[in-house]
Amino acid sequence: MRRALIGSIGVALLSAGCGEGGERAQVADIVPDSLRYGGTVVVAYMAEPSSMNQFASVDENARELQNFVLFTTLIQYDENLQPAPYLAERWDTAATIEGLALTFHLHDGVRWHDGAPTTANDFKFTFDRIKDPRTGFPSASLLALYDSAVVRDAFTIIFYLKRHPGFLDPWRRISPMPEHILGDVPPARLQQHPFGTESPVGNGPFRFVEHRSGDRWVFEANPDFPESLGGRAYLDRLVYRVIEEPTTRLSELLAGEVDVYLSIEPPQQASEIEANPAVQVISLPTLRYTFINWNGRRPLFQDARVRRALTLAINREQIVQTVRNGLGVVAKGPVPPFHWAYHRELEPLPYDPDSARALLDAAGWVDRDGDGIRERDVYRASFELRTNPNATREDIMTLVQADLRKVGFEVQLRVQEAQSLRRDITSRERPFDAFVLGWGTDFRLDDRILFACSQFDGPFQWASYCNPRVDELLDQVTRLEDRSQALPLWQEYQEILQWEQPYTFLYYDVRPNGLRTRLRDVQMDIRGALQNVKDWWVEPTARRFTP
Amino acid sequence: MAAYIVRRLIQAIPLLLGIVTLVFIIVHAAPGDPTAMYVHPSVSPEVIEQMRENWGLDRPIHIQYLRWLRSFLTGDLGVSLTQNRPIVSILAERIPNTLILSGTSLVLIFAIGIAIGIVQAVRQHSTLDHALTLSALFIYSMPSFWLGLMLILVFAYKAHLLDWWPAALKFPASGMTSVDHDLMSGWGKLGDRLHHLVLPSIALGVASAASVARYMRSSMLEVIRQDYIRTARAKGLPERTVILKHALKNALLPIITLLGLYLPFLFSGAVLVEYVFAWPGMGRTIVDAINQRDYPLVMATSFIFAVMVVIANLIADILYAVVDPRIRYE
Repeated sequence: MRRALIGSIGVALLSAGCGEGGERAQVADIVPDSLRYGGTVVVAYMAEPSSMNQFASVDENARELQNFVLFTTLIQYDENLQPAPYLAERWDTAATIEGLALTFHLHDGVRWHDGAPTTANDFKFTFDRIKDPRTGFPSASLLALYDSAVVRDAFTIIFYLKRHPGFLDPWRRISPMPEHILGDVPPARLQQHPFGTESPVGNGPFRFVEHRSGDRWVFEANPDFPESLGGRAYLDRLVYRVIEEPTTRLSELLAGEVDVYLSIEPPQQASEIEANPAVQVISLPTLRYTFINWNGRRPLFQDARVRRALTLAINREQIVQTVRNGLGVVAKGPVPPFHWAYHRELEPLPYDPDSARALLDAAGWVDRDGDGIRERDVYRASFELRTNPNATREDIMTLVQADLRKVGFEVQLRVQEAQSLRRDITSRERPFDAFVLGWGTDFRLDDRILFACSQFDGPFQWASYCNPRVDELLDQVTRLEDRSQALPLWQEYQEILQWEQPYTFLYYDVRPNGLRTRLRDVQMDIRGALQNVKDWWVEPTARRFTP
Repeated sequence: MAAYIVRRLIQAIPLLLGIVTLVFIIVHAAPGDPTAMYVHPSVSPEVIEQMRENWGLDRPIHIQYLRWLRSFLTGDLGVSLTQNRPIVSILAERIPNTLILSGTSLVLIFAIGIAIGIVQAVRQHSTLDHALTLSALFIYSMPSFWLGLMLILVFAYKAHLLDWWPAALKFPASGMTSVDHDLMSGWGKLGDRLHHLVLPSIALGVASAASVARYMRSSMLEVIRQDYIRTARAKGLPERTVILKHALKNALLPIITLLGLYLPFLFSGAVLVEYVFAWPGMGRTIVDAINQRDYPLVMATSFIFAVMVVIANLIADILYAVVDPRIRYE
């Protein structure tokens, strides 16, 4: 069982998303397109999407619903993460004195669900509100290097910006907001406008039907979605349900009340799902990694040799296999495998307690009093490892404690309430030794807030790590537009971090999702679990009862 | 009686004010604040500062309290900082759901508890009595969330795997309605709702039903030993009439007071049961609000819970007067 699971993850990672089981694929071939329309699909997740209002939401599940279900973005990423036309039929760029003029030519057949056409004015409106500090748009930094927007005609908009790599990236995730509905709302009131939770009007493949707070969001197919953008979705209805208790989610999936169980948690449930022929697991790579941060201001963690020894002494493969049930990839550094700048030749540090001991001896940390714990000068190799209440991370801490005990560290464990932990780690005094947490990366990667000297007192420089060469590299890669020039710099950055280990990078997270097999053509990948939701269809004979 | 009710309600005002003040102090003393959910690498500190300013979190705590109190007293509960919508509309959605769940449980508790208690008292020391006592204690010791999970395992999951299991006894494990609810006929909708109510209301109520049964048993035993019952039997009345007509009303007296005690218990139990069954009620709202430090929502929900408890106690006192004519509130 375990082996099969790992195999499927490998495949998922290689091909970025995996399809249906072999014997069932034949059924798919004989169902003609016309019979694929209809049916309801229920998606269940542990948390409620906060809002369909782009200006208010920060959560990833709300973003997926906005980008893939309710709204149409200017561009999409294709499976190779290259920008592809979506609402913008095409775009062109021209050099200006300041930088760049980016012109999007919009599709003229996309309508808001109330009938009004989506025009360049909606994008101008969205852009202006995002740039307006009174709106308080959380991800305003997305457009930090954008200066202004000009509407040339109803379906042409020009953005003026400074040159930077990945300048198209914001437009795959910024959904347009309808100017004819929200145009008169004062910016400071936009976030709390009922549009977001009670009456959202989109322009995407699905339209809003109902939201019951704490319970569900209901969407139905938009029959007028333009043929050239994919046409009407196959599904009649898409229901996004909130079920917080993991056992209940599992039971509802196995009982057939739920068709898609997003983010199987705890991962041990995946084995139970695999054992049932009516359901399957699709595992996909994510933007996240899990790490241990060493506070570089503490004498114990100041020496890179000690940090390297810590990593060598921790059996990360064992953590992935036991705690995550094999759902994870041992990490080498801050650039996850999905990213073009990922260093493929670099080998992750092995599990090697003997080298760890040798390194610690060389660094002067020796057990002189024979109590099994190393010392140097007046310091003992003893520290407190923290995390927030989270079953996976608590298990990781226990394994780490045992591994480090074997090479002469004494580790106290502490599980701390999330907000109070956050206060401690973001405060300028850094009143902690080490902690286990997860970090979310992005397609457009900028690690300066984590590791740049200039951020030493910033809220995310938890390692208090400073290396002028790393600063140089991180600055250059945010300016170089040519990837072939930037790649060697990215690789050097990863090699330095591998050597200096400001973090122990534990593993790149893999997200397992449970699916009823009656649901077909589901392709989940790094772009999101819902990225091709408009192509999903349900086997005609296996649909829910509809009168 | 009316004067009594009014007096009780007036007395409740300082109590409720005390409660909300205490809650305000405690929730603000906890580390963190509602901007925490926006702490993300792509969110600049300036945006966070702007939000704190928009929400008035940059003011001294006593000013925040006075500002909150002023809008609260004028009937403005404010806007939820995490859900970005008026708290009034959140409460309007959530309160009925919790009342439906706890109301059903309450009926279940008393119906089952009283029935079992009577049977046990009438058949005292029989095998049936012992068996019921044992199972009552067994059920009473079960935590509601665990019982909920077990019910889901058996009646929602395992039952689905059995072909011969009647469809009416395959219960949904979560939510208040099916996804196809809107497409159902009138009676179908009602049936669907009741179907969804079965497991959560059992999980929430069955432990209390067991304890009501214990109370009912001892109260009934006390009553049927009294002289007037012997007189009723001596008149030659059938045993059924003696128990159900003459003894029951008096034996119910102490049980009625339990009503006031169980309501608050139900509301707190609802927090766990709503979580397990994904029931969109008040319990989950308050827990989420506390975790996310959604101050206005925490204040509003704890106020509503306090009001519910006060009203529950008042109802219990009034019922007491209804069943026992000797009690007069002046």
